[in-house]
Amino acid sequence: MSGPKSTDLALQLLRKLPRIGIGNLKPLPQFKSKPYGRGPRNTGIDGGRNYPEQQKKGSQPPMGFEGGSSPYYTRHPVQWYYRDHHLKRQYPPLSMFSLQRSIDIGLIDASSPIDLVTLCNTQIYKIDPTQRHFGVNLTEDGLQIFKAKVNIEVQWTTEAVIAAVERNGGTITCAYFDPYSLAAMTDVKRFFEKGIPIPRRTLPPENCLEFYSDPKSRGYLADPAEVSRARVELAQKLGYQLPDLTKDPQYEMLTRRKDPRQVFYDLEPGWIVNLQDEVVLKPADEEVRQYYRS
Amino acid sequence: MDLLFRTAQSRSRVSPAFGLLRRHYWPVVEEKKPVNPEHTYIPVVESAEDFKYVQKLLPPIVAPPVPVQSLMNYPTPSGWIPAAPANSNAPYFVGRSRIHGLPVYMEVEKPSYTKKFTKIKKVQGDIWQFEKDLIDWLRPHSFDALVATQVSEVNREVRIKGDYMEHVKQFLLERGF
Repeated sequence: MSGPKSTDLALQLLRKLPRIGIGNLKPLPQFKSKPYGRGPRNTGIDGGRNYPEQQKKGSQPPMGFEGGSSPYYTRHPVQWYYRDHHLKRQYPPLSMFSLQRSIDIGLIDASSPIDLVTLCNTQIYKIDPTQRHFGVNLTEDGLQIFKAKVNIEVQWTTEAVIAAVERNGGTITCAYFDPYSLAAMTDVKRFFEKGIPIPRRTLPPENCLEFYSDPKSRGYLADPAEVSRARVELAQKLGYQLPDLTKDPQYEMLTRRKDPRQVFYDLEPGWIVNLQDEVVLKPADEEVRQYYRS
Repeated sequence: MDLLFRTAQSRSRVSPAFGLLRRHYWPVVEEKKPVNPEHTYIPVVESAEDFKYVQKLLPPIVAPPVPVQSLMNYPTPSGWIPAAPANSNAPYFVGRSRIHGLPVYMEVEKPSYTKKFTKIKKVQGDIWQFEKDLIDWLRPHSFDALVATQVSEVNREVRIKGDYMEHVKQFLLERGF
């Protein structure tokens, strides 16, 4: 009795394998092409240029030397127009249209306060604190169709956006977060898994302290009384009826604000989150608590 | 990887770790050390009630369902329209994305960034009939009554040369997709 032949086994295998394409074929080793311009000797770490005596005697070429061709770091001249670009803060934009769409399809819940954490959790908006992104810039695109009533906390916005949010009975605040806090907010799960205390937010740097203390831009450091006055003034300036927040059933939600040292709603700085055991660890030492609360 | 120029790493003849250019904003947490009773640790209070605030912050794994308000009153302020209940008469079906959007995308050819393509994904069923109907729909809107398409049957995609995003979306919504 003969068993399955090699051809039968091959055909059985072929039935189960995925379709052949460019992406899942691999050449045999002898047909692999060699790196351009390099023979069998020059395919190592140093391209055959760094012979042993050179290392021993110290007669090596300068750092970045490319064997004679212009090194990369001297090829392009330094231009004055992009000076300090590496020091400037960036606020990746999020349009009001995008915000309204997210609320319409249920990605964002408008019945609780919206902040950068909520926006990053939707995964349709991302920022990278290591690239000098300092938060969300709510832009005017889609301002006319914006109908949601929200309590939103952003990092940069314009007067027209503030008016559009307040006209619908919502509130908007501009708050600053330092890169340490932003790294925690943009990827919350990763941060909690680290087991580091929730950071204490720092105050904004000098060149934007005025913006965040200005009631006109609804800064989080501004006097709340002046902010209320600015709301009325803006409504008069642009000619819309400002709804009365005190008569709103969602008044408490709309007036919720974070402390200037607080990063997450309902969680204080200094606390450690234990995701495994589902507990929150709070420091009991008075000195430590005073530090985090100052 | 070949090194055509000399760097600090090439001196030691080990493979260069280019991926280590990473800024750390958080302190590097040390490896677990044995607990020393002589060291004084900060006393800590555990709280399980406050963990509910943490759960609110964690991102959901699956997109939450569409609120009933949007399903009853459409088009919503942002212009979103839900998909109609599926009927088995049509020879093809175009599914929605994970966040309930139409699967119509704009592609731009690199590196010139001048050529545009409109891509329709998630086409199930008779994709060739879908392509035919789509061409008939788009022909009045094209410049020279020609609509160049490319069908990728295995990937369930149809690609059209040019910017036909709004027209394609209208085509899909009329058929209830």
